[in-house]
Amino acid sequence: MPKSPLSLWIESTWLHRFMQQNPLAFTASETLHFMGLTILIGALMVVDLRGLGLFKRMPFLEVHKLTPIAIGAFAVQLATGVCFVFQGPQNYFDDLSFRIKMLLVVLAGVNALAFEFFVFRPYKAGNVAIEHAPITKITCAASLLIWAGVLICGRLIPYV
Amino acid sequence: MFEWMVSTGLAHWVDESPWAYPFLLTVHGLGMAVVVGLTAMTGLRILGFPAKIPLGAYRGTLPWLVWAFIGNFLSGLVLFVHDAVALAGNVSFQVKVASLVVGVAVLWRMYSHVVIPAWRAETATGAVETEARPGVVIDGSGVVAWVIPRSGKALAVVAILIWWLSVIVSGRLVAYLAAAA
Repeated sequence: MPKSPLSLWIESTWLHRFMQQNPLAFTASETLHFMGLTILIGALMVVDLRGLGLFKRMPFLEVHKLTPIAIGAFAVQLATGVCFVFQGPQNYFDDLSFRIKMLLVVLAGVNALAFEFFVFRPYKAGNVAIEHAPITKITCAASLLIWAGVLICGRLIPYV
Repeated sequence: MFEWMVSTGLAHWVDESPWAYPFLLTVHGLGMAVVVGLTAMTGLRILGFPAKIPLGAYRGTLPWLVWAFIGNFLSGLVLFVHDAVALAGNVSFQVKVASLVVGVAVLWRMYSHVVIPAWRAETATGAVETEARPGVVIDGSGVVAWVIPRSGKALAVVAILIWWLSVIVSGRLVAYLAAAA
């Protein structure tokens, strides 16, 4: 498969050269990517399982305070993920798992926005009954499933 | 014994099935995320954030932690059997297993000495959670019934650090040192 213009541009950057010349940077990025992943999944699990009706003793509004932690962890994921792609862009762009993974990450973002605007903000504005609404169950279940999919696709990148 | 492990049908299955190895790694990755992630969230609460979630409510995370750990342990065991001879002599792997044992002990203590006592105090008849003093439970007559012990905060820090620094870092290095050997 020919290289895409994006790959050619990436290969002209300092970050590409840096990642190529320092194999340890890749290992370090992977370790950070794993650490970020655990925090992201941990924070999401508490928020989403609460939304699904577990951990009832946790106040709904308080649990939402964990979302900045999930977003911070995602920022680490994104930064280290960019480092992987800059190391050898075309390997990733040609990989089916990687493409599905990126699609799922976008989907997870859209789902998180749906939760924020159609569940959390109405709840905060006084519509506490929304805690038990289908939209809450759907967005929280979708979040867990999509992120599990992201993790699985990530693991499969070297194999598919 | 390690030679025997590598010669078993289980080890051959991992070698021969194209999906066994990626499948086991995926289970191991999912389990890791849940175990380390929930440990971090519970640890963070013991350290004080988010202050208004009752600490005892985190007792609900325990079954998830236990099941995820079992999944991790079993997938890890099969991954080990598949490559026992090389892994047993791998320093990163030895560090990983040692930290794993310490990590489980610390996690156990964190739940049995902090989270579950908090849950008992909070759910006792007449108990009131003090929003003004996070980590403090007062009983019906206003007497302090339970406070997070100082050692609880140390346990939380150690639990997070041991999973992160030892298990993840050494776990990642297992792949690289094995490749180099």
